[in-house]
Amino acid sequence: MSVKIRELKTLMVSAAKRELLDEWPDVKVYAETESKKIAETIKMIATLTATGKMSKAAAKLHLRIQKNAARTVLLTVEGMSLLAVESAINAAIKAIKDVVNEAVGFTLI
Amino acid sequence: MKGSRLACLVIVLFMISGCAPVRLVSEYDAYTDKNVTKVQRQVETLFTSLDRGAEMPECLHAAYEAKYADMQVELNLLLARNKTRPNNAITTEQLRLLASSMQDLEALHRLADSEDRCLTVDDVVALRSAFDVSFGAVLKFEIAKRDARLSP
Repeated sequence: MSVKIRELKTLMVSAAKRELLDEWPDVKVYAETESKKIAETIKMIATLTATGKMSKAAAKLHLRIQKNAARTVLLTVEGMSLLAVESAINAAIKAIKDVVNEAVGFTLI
Repeated sequence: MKGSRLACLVIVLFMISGCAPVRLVSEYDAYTDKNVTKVQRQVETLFTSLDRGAEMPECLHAAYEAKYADMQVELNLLLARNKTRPNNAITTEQLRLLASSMQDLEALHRLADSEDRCLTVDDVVALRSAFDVSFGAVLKFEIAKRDARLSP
């Protein structure tokens, strides 16, 4: 079996890198856009409370809802990152598939 | 160094998973997609009804009690289903947060009743923004699960 570890490693790493780099900008833009919306709404709640147009009890409930929205966005970002890692791992496996199968002489991967 | 770690990780994951692709998060679930969208529509209908100038007593919580109960039931069913899906901690937590926000929304509506007023336009603007973001985040992730696995 003439499988070169260095060659496999290079194939896997470049396939994985490509996947992670492709995904990250979308996640970053999404996180920034949604965070901005939440920040603007929290500012509005603070202003309404300061000017007496919103009671403290109402403001507390509003803020908890905004916090939940922020946490939901962060969870999506975490999930999207996991999906990118998953794609990277699968791309890495796919990248070495032909080399390994050819070397062993049967369909191992 | 990073490359070596990745190579080891891939080999270990491959040995564990056999020939199946590695899955770090749950599969796409059409039921979740469809029913989260359904609750989103119910919430948006509620907001639209409130910000079109519903007046007392039509704007009071009592008039919407059955709708709140329907939405909470739907979210509880979604939560129960998603808890049973493997590798699904993220979506489960997102749905728990949505159910919690729904309780807070209802509490805000009751609070307005106790102050003998309707929910204000400002209330609705802030609430709509938060729920849009929350529903959008849950759906974005669910759809990403499907799309990530469709790509070649």
